[in-house]
Amino acid sequence: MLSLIYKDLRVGLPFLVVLVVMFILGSAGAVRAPVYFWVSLVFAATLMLGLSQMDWRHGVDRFVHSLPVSRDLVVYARYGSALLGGALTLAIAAIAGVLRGAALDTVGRAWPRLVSVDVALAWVLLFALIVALYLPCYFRWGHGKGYIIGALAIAAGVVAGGFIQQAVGRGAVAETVPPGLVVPAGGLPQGLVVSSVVEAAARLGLPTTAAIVLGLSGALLLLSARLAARAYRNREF
Amino acid sequence: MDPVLELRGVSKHYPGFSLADVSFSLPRGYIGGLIGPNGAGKTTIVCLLLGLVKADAGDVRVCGLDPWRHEVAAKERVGFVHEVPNHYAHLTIDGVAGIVSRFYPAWDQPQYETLMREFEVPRRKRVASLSRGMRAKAALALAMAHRAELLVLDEPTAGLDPVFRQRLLDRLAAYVSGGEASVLLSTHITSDLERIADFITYIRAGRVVFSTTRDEIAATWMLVKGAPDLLKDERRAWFAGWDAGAHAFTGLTRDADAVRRQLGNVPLVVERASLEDIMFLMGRSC
Repeated sequence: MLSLIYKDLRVGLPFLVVLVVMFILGSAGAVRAPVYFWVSLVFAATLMLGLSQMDWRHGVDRFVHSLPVSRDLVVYARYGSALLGGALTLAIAAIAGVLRGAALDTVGRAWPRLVSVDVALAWVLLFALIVALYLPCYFRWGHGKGYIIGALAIAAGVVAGGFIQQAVGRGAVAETVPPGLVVPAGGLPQGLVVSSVVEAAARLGLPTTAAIVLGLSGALLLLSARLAARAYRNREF
Repeated sequence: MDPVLELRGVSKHYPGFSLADVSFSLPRGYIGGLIGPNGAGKTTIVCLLLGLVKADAGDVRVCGLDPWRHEVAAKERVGFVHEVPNHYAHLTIDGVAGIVSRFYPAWDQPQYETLMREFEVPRRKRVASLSRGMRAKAALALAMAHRAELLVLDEPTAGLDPVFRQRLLDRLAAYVSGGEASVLLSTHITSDLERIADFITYIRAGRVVFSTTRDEIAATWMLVKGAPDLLKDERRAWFAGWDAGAHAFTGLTRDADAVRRQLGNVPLVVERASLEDIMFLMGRSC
């Protein structure tokens, strides 16, 4: 599996260069902090999509599957590569945020808040959701149809999140926190997942929230990977 | 003889095409040729051998393993060159080799370097900037550098110049000379097979027409040529294939003596049929 992840890394190297450039621009203050949260998330997702698009563009399915790899390994390795890309994106986003915060001396304000652990946990959960929705579609339906169905699934997830947020009447984080708890909400991105994770961190503490979020993300990804592997097992090239 | 690949009663159905009851094998240490017209099923057979597609019925074995069920173990033993050798175009050939080498425990880097020098492939050029022939050469080097027990080459010589083709055929003959490795060569260029193949399998419309040694084909398949008026309708059934022109007919038969006896004392030319003659005449009259 490591050989397949290495292949993805080697093939996706141009993307990584773009990633670094993008975050240098970001840290230089090109965009506002909450926007930067979503931009980094979209970029991590694009990295994952880019790898599958590269396979399609270069027509390497037969080449990859003529190597001594099983279909299951190809699936799990792609999850591994996606997570590695996500981890890299998050790390560079955090570095960019810290640099930006240090440069502007705005401790406690937007950028440092963005790179705090609770927001990073929200980022992890959102990224896990994107990966868990997209990759089974890609492995089930292939490059063309899978890409469209995966994108629709993610869009449906966003819309569903909006509806749930409205239904439960969840607004800004500061409004939902009980009196006595202090949640530094400056520069927070909007959205159900972010507000829920930040609130959970404030109520339950960071270690418990981290355990819940990482456990939930892991379970989601595991279930998704199993589904994807099952869908891919009978794929012919 | 220990077969390095074996298909028994293999069927595979696609809309508009079926591979039906295909059986043939290739013993270890020999070169096998797979011939047939476009769309005959050669690439489907290659894909079956690599576990890229699953047989609907029958048994496929590569080095004794079912390539669909034991895909890793089977493919470790196989080197493959696809008719359109696609790699990541933005990488150099050395970059691709760096990826491929990690998958094979038996990867032989000095052997790879020797082959790249011998094939004169520019290793630091990006795949995108290489000609089709150069890509084919690089794919061949990659396939041969991990000491595969079976090389499966799907139209590898298409796009190669005649000088390199000859060198490649010599290379393939040397590859199997130790008796441990085998080569399956799927190609339209039948003259290549006449030079090096030990066994020939002819596929047409998804069925095996014959699968035998090259020597047996040379000894049994004959061309009978004569005046066109000799080829009357009822006599056409004597031939596995025929072609009639204004001045002569050519018939393909396994029993030239019987044809000669039945036609009596008329001027006829009887000569050995080449693989191309066989493919042409069988294809023409089917």
